[in-house]
Amino acid sequence: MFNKRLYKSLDHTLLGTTIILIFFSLIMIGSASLEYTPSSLQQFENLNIFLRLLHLDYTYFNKQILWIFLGFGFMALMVYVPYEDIIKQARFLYVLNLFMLIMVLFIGHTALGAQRWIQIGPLTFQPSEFAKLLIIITFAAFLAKREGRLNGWLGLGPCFLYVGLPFIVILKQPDLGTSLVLIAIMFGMLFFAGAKPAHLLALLGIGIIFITGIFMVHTYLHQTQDNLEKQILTMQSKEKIISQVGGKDEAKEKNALSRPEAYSTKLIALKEKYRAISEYHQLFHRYTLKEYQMNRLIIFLNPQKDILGAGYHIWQSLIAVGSGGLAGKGFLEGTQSHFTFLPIRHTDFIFSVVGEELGFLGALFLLSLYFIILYRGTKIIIHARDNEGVLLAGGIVTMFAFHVFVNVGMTIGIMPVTGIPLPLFSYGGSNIIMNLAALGLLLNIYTRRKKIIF
Amino acid sequence: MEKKELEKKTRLFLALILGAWIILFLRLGFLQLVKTDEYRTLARQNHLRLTRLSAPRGEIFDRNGVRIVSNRPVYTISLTNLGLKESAQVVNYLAELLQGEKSFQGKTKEQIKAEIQAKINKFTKNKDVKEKFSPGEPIKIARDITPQTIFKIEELRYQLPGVVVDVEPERQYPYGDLLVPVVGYIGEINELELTAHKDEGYYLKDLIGKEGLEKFYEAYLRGTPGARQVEVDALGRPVRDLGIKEAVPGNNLFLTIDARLQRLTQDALAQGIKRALTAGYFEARAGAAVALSVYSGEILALVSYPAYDPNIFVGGIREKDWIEVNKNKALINRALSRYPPGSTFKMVTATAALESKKITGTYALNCTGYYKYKKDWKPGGHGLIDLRKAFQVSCDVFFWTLGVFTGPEKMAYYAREYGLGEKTGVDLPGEEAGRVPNPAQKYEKWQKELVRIQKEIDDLKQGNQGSRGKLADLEQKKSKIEWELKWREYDTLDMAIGQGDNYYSPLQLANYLAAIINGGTVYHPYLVKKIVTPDGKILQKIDSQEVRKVNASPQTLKIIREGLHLVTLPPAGTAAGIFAGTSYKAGAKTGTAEVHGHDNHALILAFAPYEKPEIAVAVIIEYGGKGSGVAGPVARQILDGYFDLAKTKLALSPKEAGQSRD
Repeated sequence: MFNKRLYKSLDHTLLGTTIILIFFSLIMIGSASLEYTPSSLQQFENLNIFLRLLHLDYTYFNKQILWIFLGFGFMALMVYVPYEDIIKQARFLYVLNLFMLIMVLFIGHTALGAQRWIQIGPLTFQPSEFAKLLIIITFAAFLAKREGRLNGWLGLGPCFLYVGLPFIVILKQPDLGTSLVLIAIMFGMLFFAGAKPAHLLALLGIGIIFITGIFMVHTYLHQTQDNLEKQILTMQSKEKIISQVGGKDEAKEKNALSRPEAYSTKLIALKEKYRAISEYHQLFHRYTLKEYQMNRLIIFLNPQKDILGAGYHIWQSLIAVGSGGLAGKGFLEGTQSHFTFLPIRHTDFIFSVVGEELGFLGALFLLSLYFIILYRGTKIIIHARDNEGVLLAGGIVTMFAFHVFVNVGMTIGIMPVTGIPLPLFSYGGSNIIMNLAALGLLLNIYTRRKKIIF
Repeated sequence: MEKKELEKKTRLFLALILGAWIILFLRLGFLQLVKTDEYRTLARQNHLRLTRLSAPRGEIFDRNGVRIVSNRPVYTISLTNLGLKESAQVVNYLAELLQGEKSFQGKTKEQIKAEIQAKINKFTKNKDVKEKFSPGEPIKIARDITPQTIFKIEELRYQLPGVVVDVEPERQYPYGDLLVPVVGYIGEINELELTAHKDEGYYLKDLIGKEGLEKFYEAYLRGTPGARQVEVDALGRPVRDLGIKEAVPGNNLFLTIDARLQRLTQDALAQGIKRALTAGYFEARAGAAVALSVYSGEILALVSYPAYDPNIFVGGIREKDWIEVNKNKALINRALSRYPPGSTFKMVTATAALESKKITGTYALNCTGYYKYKKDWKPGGHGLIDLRKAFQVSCDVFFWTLGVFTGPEKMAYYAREYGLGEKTGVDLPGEEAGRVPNPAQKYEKWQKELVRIQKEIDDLKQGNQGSRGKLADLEQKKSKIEWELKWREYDTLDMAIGQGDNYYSPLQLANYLAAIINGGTVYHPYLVKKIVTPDGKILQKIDSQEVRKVNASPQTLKIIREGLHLVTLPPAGTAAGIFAGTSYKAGAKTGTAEVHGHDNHALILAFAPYEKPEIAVAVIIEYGGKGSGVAGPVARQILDGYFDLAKTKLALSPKEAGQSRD
């Protein structure tokens, strides 16, 4: 199966960078697995760095190696099969994708408050991870057929429907992060397919205004309800005091409100108002997001408001990254991670471990690796042989860039927490396999680039 | 697609990515290069936890080493890291484990849960507290937990993240209300005290002496809190001990009090008040008694009735108990509060008359029962009597006469010489100075009233709204006050027999008696003999201290002493019945202080032995009627007890003390 000519035609920079990135990720997963308990710390204290390595918990590390091998297998497969052949199966893949996503809703495995996983034997996998790649493939086929018809507003409509269907199913899980990735992919691919940038920008603007509007309406409802509740409570406690003190109180004469009749009518009016507002509030949440989901989305703006609740993850991550400084605390020396303050640190918040232990320099290095991959990706877009290749490559690069930006942005408090992993770096089989397969597709497009007839 | 157009698009696309990356770099730079120190501090606060170890307070012993106030270690349970999602589960577990514990006696699991939750909410939900409250700070939820429960909690440590078990010293009172309220009590420091003791290292929730010896000797009793630094994980579970600085216990106080005499005095006074009640004095519900060592000022017993059970303050007082204790005014130390002295003041009058040479020791007059418009307490009078006899029968006419001879200024001078009307300087907070009447003092007092009335009149005149009747009323009041501005003869007469504006504390009266009988030395009365460090070294030894030598000749004092002795002798002595059949010779002066609109206060000052005095006693029973009636027997019991105790060297056992409590 190994083909020398095929190997020679691969993008070695891209492949090499990917391999370095994966090695880096394994080291950090090893570090993230270390959790101090009184006994483990006692054991650890007196060892040098190499002996310490022997005492790490290798469970995640070993599993991840297995995923990596599997991932490279998928990658090879994606390189080997001409992408045109894959594109041809678009209709089938689209249906398969939808089927898997819907299956999740029925037989899915719930964890962390969302239904995202399907269990097959001893393995669980996350259809929404693969949905991203499948959408790229199927949408590329869809767009390629509509070339030149995307100039007007009307031409965009079907595209929205096409992506909208899986989008809604994923949102239902709920997996807001992946749904957002789909939107990003769609915009990226529409851009390369020839939709007018002005149109896309306008749509983006409308979307942002709409979302802000929703949040503002909610804030209004929420605050009004809170204020009314407070007013009612204080009035009720005052009423109690008045009824206890009885007629002797001089305050009674001074304050007109303390006359019982006027008091109770005002109280009743307030209660009426409160009931109406809370009804609207409930209605609002039934048709949009739940209260806690909204909280989680906007808490990054001010995590200190609730450092024990919704803001806990971001707050601890900020402390981890910030306390890393220029050069970091050193490998295996992070207090935020090993004293378990940093949550889900081997998956979504692994960047925080890099930030804490390796500092600004380590983070810079990691982000540079990603940039090299993305830069090579854009080269591949240009060199793609046909429209399908451009669209595929465009979708993959968009997805990759969006993932990295949103994940890293989340750990440093400039993006909401949406549960998007760091591609090729966070622990998790679906993440590794899907991303390696996507890079395989990218390499596929590169090997079949213009001028070289394969 | 055009190749050129695609290249343009791709370049734009790459620029977009580069822009996003630059945003990330800038943000990372801000966090990691600009704000590093801030976040390093936060990281340290996260995993390094400094817990204060409270120091056991110093203990309080009596003069013979009887432990009156001690400490015992109790287990407490606190919660840290509240608000994590595990908290609800932890509270649930805890409620189950704590069922049947002393602090939650007879409560169901649900009730305990609600109680714990309420305590947590007080801190985490309250906005004001929330700002000062850091999540790592422990909140105490239960105290005095049995070792069995603690054992269970330690076993379940990993199911109970955030639960902290501490051993804390707590006040213990083996003899119940012995020496209450003199020892005082401790409680959580309040905002006011926190600012007052700003530089002494107090923290919120620290305990501080609130009253009595606990307050006066706070600096000695407190000790130095220790600290322990632990590394914890996110759930507050300790991972590594980084070091400990042990707390240093406070210093111990050794008192001048004799616990046995104190117990006896407390019981005697309680019985005396009970007798007064049964005798029909329905307002007799409070009193005080003081026993002093005559030649040093050591306080042997200091009693204020009613007392309270000091255990109610341990671990924070409940509202019900607080209301009860305040209703009885049991927190007030009545031995330091001021009362009209009644006839016990007559020694001052005698001193003034003898020292100013207005009379000699042999001066006598014929008491007809009248002095001008004033009537003696004994209808018909006492006949021909001299000074000594006048003491014995407490003849008012005789002392009125002396009062008029000497005048108010001389009497006031000698009252002050004896330490009346000034703080004795006893080592307790809240002592009252009392008041010695004299013309200047009277003028000042009424002048204030006059100004007030004048203002009222002016207001009324200016406003023109007042009725003529009201104005006339005020004018009348005004002229009355103008009359009162001047010292009148009846003021002198009232003063001479301890009525009028005389107000002294029982401690002052006892100290004044001691000065008369010890040959004229006013000592500084004191409670603490020595302060000893926890390892037994004497930190400070307090010796008796003279305040002044009274400006009176030994002859004068001797005559008075003889007069006081006669009081205890038949046939006519006002305290003859009380002191009948004693094994020692005593001296005494009874007092019956008139209180406007109430029964009289009953007082007695007594000392023994007459030949070489050792102990001086003052007893007062509020609204108890005649001094010889109810206060006298109490003084007799104290003196009897004092001499009995000197013979037997029996120690007081805690059990005994508990039983004899009234």
